[in-house]
Amino acid sequence: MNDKSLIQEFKENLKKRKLIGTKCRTCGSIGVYPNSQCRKCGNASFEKVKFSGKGTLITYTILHAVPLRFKENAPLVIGLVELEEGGRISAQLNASQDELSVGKKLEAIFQEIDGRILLKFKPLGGI
Amino acid sequence: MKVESIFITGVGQTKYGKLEGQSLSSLIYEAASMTLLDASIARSQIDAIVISNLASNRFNDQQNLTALCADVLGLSGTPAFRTGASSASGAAAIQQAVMMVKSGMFDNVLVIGVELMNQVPTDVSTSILANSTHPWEQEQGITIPALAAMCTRLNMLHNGLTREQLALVAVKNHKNALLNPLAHFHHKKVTIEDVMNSPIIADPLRLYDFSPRSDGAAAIIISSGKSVKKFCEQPIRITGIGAATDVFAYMDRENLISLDATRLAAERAFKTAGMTQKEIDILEVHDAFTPLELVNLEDMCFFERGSAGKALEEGITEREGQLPVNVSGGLKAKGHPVGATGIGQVLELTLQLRNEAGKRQVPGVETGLAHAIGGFGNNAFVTILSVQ
Repeated sequence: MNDKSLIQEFKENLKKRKLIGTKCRTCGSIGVYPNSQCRKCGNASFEKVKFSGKGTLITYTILHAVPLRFKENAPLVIGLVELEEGGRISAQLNASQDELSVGKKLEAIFQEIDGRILLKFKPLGGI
Repeated sequence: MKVESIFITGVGQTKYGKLEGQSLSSLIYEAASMTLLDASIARSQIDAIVISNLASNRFNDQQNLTALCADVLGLSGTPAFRTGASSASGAAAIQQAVMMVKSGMFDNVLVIGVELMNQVPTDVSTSILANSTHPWEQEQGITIPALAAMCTRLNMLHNGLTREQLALVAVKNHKNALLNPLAHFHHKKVTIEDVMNSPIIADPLRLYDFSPRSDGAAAIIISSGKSVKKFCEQPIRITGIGAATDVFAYMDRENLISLDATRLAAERAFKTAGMTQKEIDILEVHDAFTPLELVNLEDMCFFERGSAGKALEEGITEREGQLPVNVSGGLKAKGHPVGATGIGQVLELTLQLRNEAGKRQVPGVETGLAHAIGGFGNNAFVTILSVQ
């Protein structure tokens, strides 16, 4: 499958509030946001992986200088999350400053903003 | 393959800063004219142009700088090319020119970098600069400073990097810029407290951890060995070049704590130069954000992982230290007119190696290394220079 259809499918799934990535049929490495070619082994055949949405916070920032279209939402809490099945994804976090720490357990949420579904993460079990 | 017999025969730059009343044309003309004069070369001897610019189509509603540049300089007819590698475009242009001369097709290539960033408001500029990140990152509102902040947090957790060390990078480079009349912040002394009390941009990074948005242009001439004998009294030799790319999205990289592209580009440059880190006298390192100076020095193996901050505290990378880094003021204080930046770095080293750097001259330097990155380490270029 080419890059375009892989990315399209990933986004279609997000709209359905599903987080589905790729697993390389050759080396087994897991990708969240799809890439046409496996970065580890260079092969281009994948099977689907359905993620539970649970993961661990690897690192994060609170971004005050945001691009124009995020102006209303500043500051943005941004984190890099490693999913429990493998693979990483960067996303906005629904978390207050004192809930943020590296290693924190998180879960995915799908938030509708202006008719778009945005993938976010929040502390596991949190509100 | 060795670079061999490729020379820098002329350099010139405008002031960097928030420049009123300037246009792309006027900046290009000023930097190029100074460069031609410096090289004592006739315009007719320039047989190709390479231009570097990040986003004139967004900052200034102007495209096709290749033809514009040739025309402004009265060189219409001359072949002109443009290179792009985000904020490393200037360094890419130099390496492109080196390869053009090395190919034997051209003898004297004029390399010009220009950026005019202050014609748009800050938030527009933030959005334009964020276009260098991966499409997914852009959709989440993630900017290059956000990626740098996440990488910095990991260095603080795992490599002993401290908030004070980051502030010290800014203090050092602002101090250096006091001696550089063309620097964006030529008159601005900055203290550790100034940095620590400045507004948070991307926690843990603060306003004074970042380079300014600068206007400016810089140019150099790259010449072949056979051409150089005819006109140049003090050519500086380019002995090594190395370039690399990295996985586009930060989230997809195996190494989150430093920049693999920098490591690879440096390895390649040292290999082509047949030199080692110990033989380098002075460096210009990409410090658009303070942590980058330290992390990049470690990636290039000048210091062990986690020890560049200590070297900074000990004064090793000060202008008077054993290994001066960013004597020009760096991107942090000399300024960062994106398309010109990589060229300005090589210009600084050229002046230092010719012993023409005025008050900021480091005595007796014979070799120098310039390092530039594009995006958040998506591209890296390392260029090594030496006196004859």
